[in-house]
Amino acid sequence: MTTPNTTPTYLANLTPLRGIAALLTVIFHVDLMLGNGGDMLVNFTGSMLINRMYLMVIFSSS
Amino acid sequence: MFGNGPAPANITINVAFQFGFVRCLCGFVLGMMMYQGYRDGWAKSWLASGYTLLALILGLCLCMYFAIPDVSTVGFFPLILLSAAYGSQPMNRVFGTNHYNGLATGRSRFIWCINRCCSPLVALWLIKPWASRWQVAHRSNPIC
Repeated sequence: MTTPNTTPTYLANLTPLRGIAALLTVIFHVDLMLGNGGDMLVNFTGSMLINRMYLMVIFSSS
Repeated sequence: MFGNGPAPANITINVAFQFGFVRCLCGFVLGMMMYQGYRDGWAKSWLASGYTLLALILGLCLCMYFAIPDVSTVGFFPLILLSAAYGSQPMNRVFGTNHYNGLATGRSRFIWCINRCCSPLVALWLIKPWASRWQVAHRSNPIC
């Protein structure tokens, strides 16, 4: 008789990370759609960190 | 310095408008590969630590801030995912708090759905007129 695979199917630590990434993506997208390339809610041009927040889409999809 | 090609800071994978589906598909495949790595225990000895996760997140933020090419920045994602998936006692305690649980399970999917379906509508028809008025008022009274 073979033993069943005991690998956990739910990784609880990844869910909050996905939530944070989704939230950051929302901020990026809403600001992007508000004006011509952002800068209405958050200062896009002043922060390279926020300027690259589109990468969070890849993070949350992976 | 960089030859005839574009400067590294200008090499991005920001294809939000054209190839978003392909980008998400690649992210999904990356996640599946990392799950296989998780099952096989890749680099578990040094990734299963809260300090490693913090260092990786810091590295990611620095890469984004200093406009390192996106291909390099994305390289942090699988390591962060693996580190968080392995977990450790302090890390599990932090992620188990109510603040993070608020973002957990269905809510992150809800946020994602809102982002995908409703944010263009909200931005274009509800917030934009208000934001434009605020911006005009803000620019006309810079001292205030």
